[in-house]
Amino acid sequence: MALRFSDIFPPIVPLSHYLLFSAILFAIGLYGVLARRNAIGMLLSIELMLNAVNVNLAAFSRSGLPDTGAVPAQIVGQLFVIFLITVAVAEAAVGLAIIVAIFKLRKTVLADELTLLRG
Amino acid sequence: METLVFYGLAVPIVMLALVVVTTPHILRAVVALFLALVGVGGLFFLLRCPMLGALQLMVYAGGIAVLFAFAVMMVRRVTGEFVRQTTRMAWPAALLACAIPVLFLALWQGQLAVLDETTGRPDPIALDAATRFVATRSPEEVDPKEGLSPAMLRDYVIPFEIASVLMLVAMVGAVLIGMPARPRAGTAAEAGPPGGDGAEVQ
Repeated sequence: MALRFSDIFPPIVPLSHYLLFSAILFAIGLYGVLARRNAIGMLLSIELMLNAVNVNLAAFSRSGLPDTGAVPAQIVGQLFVIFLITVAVAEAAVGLAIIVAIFKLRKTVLADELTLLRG
Repeated sequence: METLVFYGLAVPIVMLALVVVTTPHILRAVVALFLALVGVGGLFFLLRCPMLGALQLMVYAGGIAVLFAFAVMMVRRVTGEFVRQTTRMAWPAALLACAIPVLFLALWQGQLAVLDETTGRPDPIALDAATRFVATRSPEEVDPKEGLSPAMLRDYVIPFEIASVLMLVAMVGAVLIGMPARPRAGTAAEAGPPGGDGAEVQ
């Protein structure tokens, strides 16, 4: 079976390509959260994961799914992305404030040196 | 053509994301994250969600990236190759992270597709999701009166208000956490002059 150019690059992007991209982005962010020693690096990775979810929501909302309520499905997906961006901004602001406060207190932001709760 | 644009954005984003999680220089990670967020904004435009693209550029690329840059500059001793940047769990974390796209690919190939109970064939909803195309509907088909803001201010007004309260709480909380610790009322005499408060927390 010959692989044609249009098989790899169809004129319209299939939803699954968006989903695979977002899965890869999410996985990279997950690795960053688990493996990074630096608390700021962990927050950066969390932003990557949130962005992967945003891409997923936007792609699903544009995939022509049937409307289930008064609001079109296309609009609902975009609204969810807006609320997610709001939550991400709040999380980044509070997280960075906590990191700066911890740095003032302990002179470090490396996750394995912050052992206050370990007793 | 649209797929070419998609991959022209997606491949650099993934590479920049790898830079974000691997580089020892945290400021370089911030710059890479900034570029990746701009790329995701481009994806939103490609998805015909111009509102989301604009928000992404303004809030993420304009706000969060600058916020991170300032935080990095306030926190010393975190950049450079001389500081080990990964925990002991790096290899298990890498394995776990690799498992996610592999699992997704397996699902995509239908190897783990949900079987319909009555017919024994793959679930039509799963098949539908795997073969569906995005952006098949042009944005003109949506009535302007049914756009983003009427839905947000009419049908989703309670989540909207909750989000605004969340932002307020986050703002006040960030200021409170970031403020230097105040000496207690009883020990004010020995706390020294005001403005020396910063020394208290050290």
